[in-house]
Amino acid sequence: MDKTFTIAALIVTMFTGFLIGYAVPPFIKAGVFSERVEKGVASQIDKNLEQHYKKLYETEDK
Amino acid sequence: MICCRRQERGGLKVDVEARKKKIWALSIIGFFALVSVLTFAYNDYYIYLSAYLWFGLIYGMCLQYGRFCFSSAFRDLFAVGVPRMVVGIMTATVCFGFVASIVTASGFSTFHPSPSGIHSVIAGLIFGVGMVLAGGCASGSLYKAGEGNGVALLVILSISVTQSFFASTGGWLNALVPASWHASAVSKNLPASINAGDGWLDQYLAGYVWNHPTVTFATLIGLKDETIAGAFVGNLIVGVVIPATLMLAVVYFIWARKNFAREWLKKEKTIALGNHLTGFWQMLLSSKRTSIAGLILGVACGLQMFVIEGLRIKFGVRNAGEILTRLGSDFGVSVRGTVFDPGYWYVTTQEAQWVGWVMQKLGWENMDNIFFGYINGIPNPALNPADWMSIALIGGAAVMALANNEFKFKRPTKELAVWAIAGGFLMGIGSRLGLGCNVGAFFVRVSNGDVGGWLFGLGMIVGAYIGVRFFNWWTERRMAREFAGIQF
Repeated sequence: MDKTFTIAALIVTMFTGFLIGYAVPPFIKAGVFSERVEKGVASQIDKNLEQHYKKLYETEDK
Repeated sequence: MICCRRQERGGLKVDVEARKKKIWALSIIGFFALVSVLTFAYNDYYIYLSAYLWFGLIYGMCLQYGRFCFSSAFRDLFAVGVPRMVVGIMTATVCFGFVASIVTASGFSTFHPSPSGIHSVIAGLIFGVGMVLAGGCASGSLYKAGEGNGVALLVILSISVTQSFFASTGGWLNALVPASWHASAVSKNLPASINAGDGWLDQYLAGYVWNHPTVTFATLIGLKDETIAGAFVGNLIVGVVIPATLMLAVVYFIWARKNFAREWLKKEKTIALGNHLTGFWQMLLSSKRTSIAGLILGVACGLQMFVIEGLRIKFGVRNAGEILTRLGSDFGVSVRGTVFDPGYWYVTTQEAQWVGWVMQKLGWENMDNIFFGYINGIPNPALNPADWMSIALIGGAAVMALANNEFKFKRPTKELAVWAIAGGFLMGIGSRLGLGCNVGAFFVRVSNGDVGGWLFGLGMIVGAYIGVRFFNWWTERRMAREFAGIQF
C-alpha cells in the first residue's frame, strides 16, 4: 500500500478515534447504553430552553 | 544512449513531481491536524467543528477514491450505455442504508425526514438537468475541485451564488407566487423579523412545502423509525433494498444484459435464469471501487451522527448555534438561535451560507428570509461547522489525488465555464426546491428511509436523461456546423 496513503489514513483514524472516544462518556453519563429510552438521548439542556426549542420545531413542522 | 539519458531525466522529473505531490498531501493532513489541535487547546467547544472537519475529510477521500459522481454515472449510462457507476452508487446507497438503520435503531440518529410531494420530483428534475450540463453533481464537483479541476470550482461558485440569491429574492418573483401559498405562509405566524409574505422561496417553503407530510417507509407500514423492525424492515428492506434491487434489475436488463449475453451465446445456444443471476452479480462486482467508497461513506456518516450527538449531550446543546453564541460569535445565528447543523454529510446549504454571509456583510439583507434568518443562519464561514466539513472534503479529495499522482490544475475553457455556470444555476435552484442536492435530498434521505428521497431521485434520473439528450443534440448540431464550414 502507498506509504503516503497509509500515513494519511493513520492520522485520520487517530483523530476520528479520539472524537469517538470523546463522544462516548456523555452517552454513558446520560444512561443511553444502560437504560435506553425509546427515542434519542437525554440532554443536559435546561428544561425551559428545551421546551422553547420544541415549540420552535413544532412551528417549523406546520 | 542519449535517448536513455533523456528517459532517465524524464523519469526523474516525474519521480520528483510525484514526491512533491505526496509531501503536499501530507501537508494538507498536517494543516487540518494543526487546526484541530490548536483550536481545541484554545477552547473545548471547537471540537464540535473539528468533528465536522475530520468526517468531511473522510468523505472527500472516499468520493475521490470511488469517483462518486452522480452526473458521470447517469451520463455514462444514458450516453454510452455503461452502467458501472450507477450500479456502484446504488450499492453504496444500500450499504449506507444498512449503517443508517443501525444508527437509527440505536437512537443516535440526527436525521430528520423532510416534507415530500410532487415538488421533490420537480426539484430533482431541474437538479438532474443541471448536473449533466455542469459535468458534475454537487458532491462530484467538490471532489473534482480537490483534484484541481477549475470547472468544478466554477460549478460550486455558481451553485452557491444561485442559492443565496434565490433564497432572498422577492420583487417580481412574488408575482409568480399563488395566493394560497402567500396566505398559508403569512398564517404561520413566524417571528416578526422574518418576512414570510415576501420572497418566492419563503412563500414556497412556509406556504407550500411545510404543508406536506414527512413520511418514512417505516411509518408508512405502521412502524416507528427508532425500533429495530422500523429501521431494518421498514426503512432498510422496504425503503432501500427492494427499490434499489428493482432499479438495478432494470439497469441490468436494459444496459448490462446484452454484453453478458453476447459472451454466453458464443458458448451456449440459450440463456438460462442462472446465467442472468451470474450476470447480475458480475455487474455488481464491476463497481467494487464505488461500492467500497459507499460502504465507508455509510460507516463514516453513522459515526459522525454518533459523535455529534455525543458532543451535543456533553455540551448540553441542541444545535451548533448555541456553541457559536458561547464562543462569542452570534452574528448570523438565526432568530431561533440555530445555524445549519445536520450532524451528517450535507453539501449545498453551507455553500449558500457563505455567499449569504458575504452578501450580508456587503449590505444585502439576508436575515429576514426563512432559509437563512429562520432556519440555517449565515454564521461566519470560519466558524460554520458545515463549511469546515466542505473545506475538509475538498482537502480530503486533494489528499487522495495528490497521493495517487492524480492531482492536476485544469483551467476551464470559455465553453466549459458557460456550461458550469448554467448547470450550477439549475442545480442551485433544484437544491433549494428539493431541500438538498444529490447527497442531502437523495443519498442521505433514501438511505434513512425517507420517501421523498426516492421522489427526488426519480426526478433526478429523468432530468439527467433530458440533460444527456439535450447535450447530444447540442454537440451534433455544433459538429454539423463545423463540418459544413470545412472545404474538402
